[in-house]
Amino acid sequence: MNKARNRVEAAIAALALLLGITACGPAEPGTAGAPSVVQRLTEAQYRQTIADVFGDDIRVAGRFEPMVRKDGLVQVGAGAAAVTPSGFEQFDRLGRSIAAQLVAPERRSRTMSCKPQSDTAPDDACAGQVLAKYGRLLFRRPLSPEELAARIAVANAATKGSGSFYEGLRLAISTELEMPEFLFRIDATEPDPDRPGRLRLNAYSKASRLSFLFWNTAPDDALLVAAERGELNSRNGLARQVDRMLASARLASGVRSFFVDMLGYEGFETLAKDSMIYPAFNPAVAGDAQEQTLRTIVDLLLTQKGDYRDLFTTRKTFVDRVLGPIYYVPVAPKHGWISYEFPEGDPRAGLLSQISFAALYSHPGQSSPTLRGKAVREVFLCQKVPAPPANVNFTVAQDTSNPEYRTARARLTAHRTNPTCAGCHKIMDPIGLALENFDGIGAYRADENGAPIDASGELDGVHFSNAIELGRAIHDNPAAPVCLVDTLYKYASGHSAGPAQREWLQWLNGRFAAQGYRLMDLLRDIALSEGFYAVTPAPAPTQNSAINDASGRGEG
Amino acid sequence: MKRNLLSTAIVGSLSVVSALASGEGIVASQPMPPALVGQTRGYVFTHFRSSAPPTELTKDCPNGYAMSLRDAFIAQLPPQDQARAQQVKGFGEVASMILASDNPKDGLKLGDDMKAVGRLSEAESKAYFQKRRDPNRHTICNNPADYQGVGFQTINHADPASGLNLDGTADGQATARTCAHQKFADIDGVAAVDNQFWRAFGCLAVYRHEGLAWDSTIATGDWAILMEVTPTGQSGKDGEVDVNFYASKDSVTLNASGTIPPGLSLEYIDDPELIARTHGKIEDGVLTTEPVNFTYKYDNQIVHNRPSFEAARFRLKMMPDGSLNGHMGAYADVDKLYGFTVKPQTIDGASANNIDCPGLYAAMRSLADGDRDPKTGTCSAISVAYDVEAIPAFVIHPRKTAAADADRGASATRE
Repeated sequence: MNKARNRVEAAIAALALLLGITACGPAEPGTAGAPSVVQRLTEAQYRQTIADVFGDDIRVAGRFEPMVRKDGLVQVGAGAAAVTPSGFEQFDRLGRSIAAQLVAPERRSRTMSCKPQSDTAPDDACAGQVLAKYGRLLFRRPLSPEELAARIAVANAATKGSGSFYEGLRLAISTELEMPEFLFRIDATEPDPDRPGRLRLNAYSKASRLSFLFWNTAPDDALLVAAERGELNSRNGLARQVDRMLASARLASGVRSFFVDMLGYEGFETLAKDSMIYPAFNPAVAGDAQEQTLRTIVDLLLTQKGDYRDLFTTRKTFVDRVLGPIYYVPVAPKHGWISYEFPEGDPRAGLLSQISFAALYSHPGQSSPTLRGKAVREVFLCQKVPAPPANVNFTVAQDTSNPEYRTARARLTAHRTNPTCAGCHKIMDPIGLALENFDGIGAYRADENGAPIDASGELDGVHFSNAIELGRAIHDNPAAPVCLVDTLYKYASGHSAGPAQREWLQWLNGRFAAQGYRLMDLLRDIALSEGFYAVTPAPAPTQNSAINDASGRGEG
Repeated sequence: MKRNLLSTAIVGSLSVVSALASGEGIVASQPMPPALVGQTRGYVFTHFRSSAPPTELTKDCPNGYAMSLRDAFIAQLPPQDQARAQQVKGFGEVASMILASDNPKDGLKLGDDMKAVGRLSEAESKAYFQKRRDPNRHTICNNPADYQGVGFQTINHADPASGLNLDGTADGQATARTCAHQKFADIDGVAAVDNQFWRAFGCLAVYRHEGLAWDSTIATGDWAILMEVTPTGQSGKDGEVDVNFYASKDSVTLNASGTIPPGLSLEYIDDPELIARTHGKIEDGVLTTEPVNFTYKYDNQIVHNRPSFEAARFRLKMMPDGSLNGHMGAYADVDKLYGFTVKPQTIDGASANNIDCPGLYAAMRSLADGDRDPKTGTCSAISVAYDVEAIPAFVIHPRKTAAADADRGASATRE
């Protein structure tokens, strides 16, 4: 039945391809795809997966090795992340702790799908049932018979050694939690039947890509079932799952994770402010500032299904009593958040005027037009700014007590007299200076050291006089939505787009624009495209392909 | 464009708020001194403490600090014992503890302790103990009127001191509502200051050095006073204002420098006893209010009280940073004020702070200048002055019903 349906769908899709049309706009261009990747689970993905698979009452108490940021995203850096011996020790400790909680007497009624014949003797059938169930969810694919047999053997031996079925099971489950198949997202490929000679992700890897993109966690049972049935290889079957996931409340989690990565929020983990200069800043402010921005994003892009570009101009946001004093707005409820709209005439609008951006891209004791301008260029416009030369002299730029240069504009103007600095500052500073009305933690100020702040500037030929107009300039800058598409693709696929994806990304950008820059439409287009799953053959044996082979599922 | 906070969307738990209004031009998202035009300003008191001006002791109290409870006790001993007690290190403290004790057994035990160290005979200690206790075994500081103060020092000059002119006279002559008293000289633009409280407390060492530590603990988050100032005129430029005072339901929070930041949102307690409404005027950057009975809620670890003032009035300068700075002048019932300032710290605390309770109480009564009894001509309230500092805050009105929220949220910031 499924095969027949898939054949019909494939025929319809082929016809549409021949005619060069789809339901909306031009048809998806072909793409050679990109290399398969192996990505280590991020801490958030690990924690969410454990909660989803075992229940959110399972404590995940441990430290995770830091990830590296590559090409602007931690998720891309995850493709280059290894596990050091000490890191493996941490995973081992976590795995043992989680498994122990899972088989604890008080949880067995929920976590055990069978009861052993004896609590003190091996029961391979029951152990196999449990290990297969959890192994499938953790590995994001069914265990091969060999893999399952190996796990059962561990449980059997440990049960005999300990005299406890559950102790044996605990050890076997902990080994599942330490396997590369769980700790790494491994792209497994197969020949693409529609494009002879080319590869595509297999159904389980498709499921993983979808799940981590939409929900930032491992595939749920329904998605794995769809993969098992081959439904993800048909457009309609894939669409059913994509639409189901897009309709889920869990989509917010995935979108938040994407923007946490895009906005560089791991920087908050080490963000420090001089408490003498910024006494209002504390860890609670840092945490709630991130939450405010993420709530703003989710509300605009998912709840309101709004235009992505409006993130730079929206006056609507959320505040709580922690942030209220910095924004100087009233917050009625003692706990929790309220939606708030900055009134017309208020100097704040858009993400750039929020505390999170202002504080993250500032120095501990002063604002930084340069850091802010660089962030706008790199994060929101995807324009690379070269690193400063090693011998640059920052004395003038950082001396806020110099009466000759009372404002950041004056200091940077003096700093730019150095020709080696001028080139880059020219593209960063005008943007950052527009945000100078927000100090190093995002509080409003009309002047600096008694001198009025001039927030005027220019972005790619568009002149502005303040942060509001800068937000409008970014909103209208063609590079902004293109950058989002590029970044989202990098995040979803784990690698930067190359020349092979250029035409495909242009098609995606066209769709994004035609649909009013709606993130959910963009997510759907990416998820339903063939290019998203297309894989180029590896030029030579690599560690990734070796792992694919070892998994028993990789066919590429 | 002027800021109108109520025109903004405050969705969710919508309550009426009062807030700092903004001036002309671009609207700021943080505190700034605004023009008071048609909008309510909210404040939270960051400092509310009985005034203890930094004046010279020798000028205020020529005979030195007021005698402490210990010294008063020693002064009442027979001459031969006084000399011995003065030489005995620690005797006074032990004696004070005896006096402070509610439990005769404790007193006897302490008497035993003194005997043990050879300071007093058992008979002597029991005699002193029994001499200083009333038949009901009440403690001396809880029943100060039952005892006689010994040489309690007060301030008797007319030099400048903090406060306001409460009785309206220039010389402190008796009126229908007040008793004759000595005025302090003009200070900070205020003429003929009434502050009999300062005369009573001003020679206490602990008060001069630390003030009343128990009346300024706002930063602990235990209590706070909120204030709203709302223009009443059509144009809002005639300076006439309504002024409301509330007790905060919420604790203030501190920033990293340990100070209360401006812009906190604080809900008030919906209790009529803790809400005071009056009128005022803003002239030349100074807010003055008309007299109003004012009760606030005070809490700390061991004291839970509702101190009240009669005919309280405020004179507050509006500072460039948006804060207020000035004084409250008022009358306080002597017994209530004594009960709040001395009793709650426990009798041992009074001893430790060297306060001669009978002496202080007697001074307060003799210096009382308000709430004159027309029949006896005596006064039972004393004029007080409090230092006040306030910063902008958002005063959150308690939510009552959804319908009330809608009405209040859509109309005005005032109730």
